Amino acid sequence: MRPADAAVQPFDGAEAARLVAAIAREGDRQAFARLFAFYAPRLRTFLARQGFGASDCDDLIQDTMLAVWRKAERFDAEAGAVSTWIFTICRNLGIDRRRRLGRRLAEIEPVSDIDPSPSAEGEIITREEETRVRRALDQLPAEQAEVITLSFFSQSPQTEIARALGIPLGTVKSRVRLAMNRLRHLLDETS
Amino acid sequence: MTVSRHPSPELLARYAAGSLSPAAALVVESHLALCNTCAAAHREALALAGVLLERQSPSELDASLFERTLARLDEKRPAPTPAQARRPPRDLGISLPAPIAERATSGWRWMGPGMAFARLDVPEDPRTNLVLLKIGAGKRMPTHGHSGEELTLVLQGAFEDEHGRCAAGDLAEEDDDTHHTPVVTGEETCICLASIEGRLRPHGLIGRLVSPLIGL
Repeated sequence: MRPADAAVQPFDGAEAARLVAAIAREGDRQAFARLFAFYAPRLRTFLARQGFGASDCDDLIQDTMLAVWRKAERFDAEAGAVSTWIFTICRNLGIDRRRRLGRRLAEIEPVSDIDPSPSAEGEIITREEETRVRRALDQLPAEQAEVITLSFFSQSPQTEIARALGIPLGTVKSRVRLAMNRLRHLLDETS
Repeated sequence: MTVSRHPSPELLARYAAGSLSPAAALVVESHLALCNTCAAAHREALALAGVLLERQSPSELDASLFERTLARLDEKRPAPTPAQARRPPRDLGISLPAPIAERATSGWRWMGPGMAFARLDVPEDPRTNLVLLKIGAGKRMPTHGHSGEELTLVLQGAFEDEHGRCAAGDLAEEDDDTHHTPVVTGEETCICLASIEGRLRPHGLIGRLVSPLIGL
């Protein structure tokens, strides 16, 4: 089996939810292939922006998509937001990997037991909320959307925003604030 | 608890993305446990991150990654690892927010008249220190600048700086641009949780105070 064409159009939230439901119902590998084709290359971009090396990226993508396969039954396909769910799984696995790496760097034995996977996956975010966010982001000017993306995903947001926009480092903070305020305004408007 | 100083949208964005250092993330998480407004803002930030993920330009994948993932679909699921027996954490005489309640600590150590600190164990984060700080009413700190990021969450009592009052539940963010002259106000002893970035040159308020004592 091959992943569906990688140039797939972005799903709307409802279609993504149908694919997750098909995995839950009948272990539908075709549905899994379509989710993989859309999300895996984008997870790769996110993870690279977070500073993960090639082999960590591959591992984290595999583990994320494997968790999607295994946890599909527990996903609420009626209401749940697929992109948020998949993002959160990947985020938590990334945090977990960084913690392990940190411990290895410190070369010390853990003296306290640390929850291996943060519980945020359980947070309930509805498809409606995701749609509201999508609508707000659609209305944001491209440059501000880029500022928001880097604020979220970049490992060193300030430096990268300065480079992406060709502005001095000292002015980044006010640009970020402007973009965040505009987004806040749009989010409040669409709620 | 009425919280008046919240994490900035930028800090919540980095927390949502998972890119904060583990110690800093624990301070933000502790704030979320005390502040419903920010708990809701965090859920919204995760939704934002999910939609931003959809909009990332796709990267090229190793040609075999899909096949390798498919091959693992029928793997037996790993059995959940049994929870290790925890040593009950040392009682510091205060109630700690859930995210840090189970952490091993150094216990309170004397730091000066009316001041004490306790180090929290964060073995997964060798580059950032997580400390509790106890400062008596009326104590004033010296003005100082910062080189790394320092997050301070007030757990009890209050201090005041040029940005105003910082009381229980409030989170103060400081970076290299901020100058800071906090004074503990009110009758109550102030207890803060702080993450201090950097091992070699802590310039932050708390970093400066405790660095000689914890061997930074």
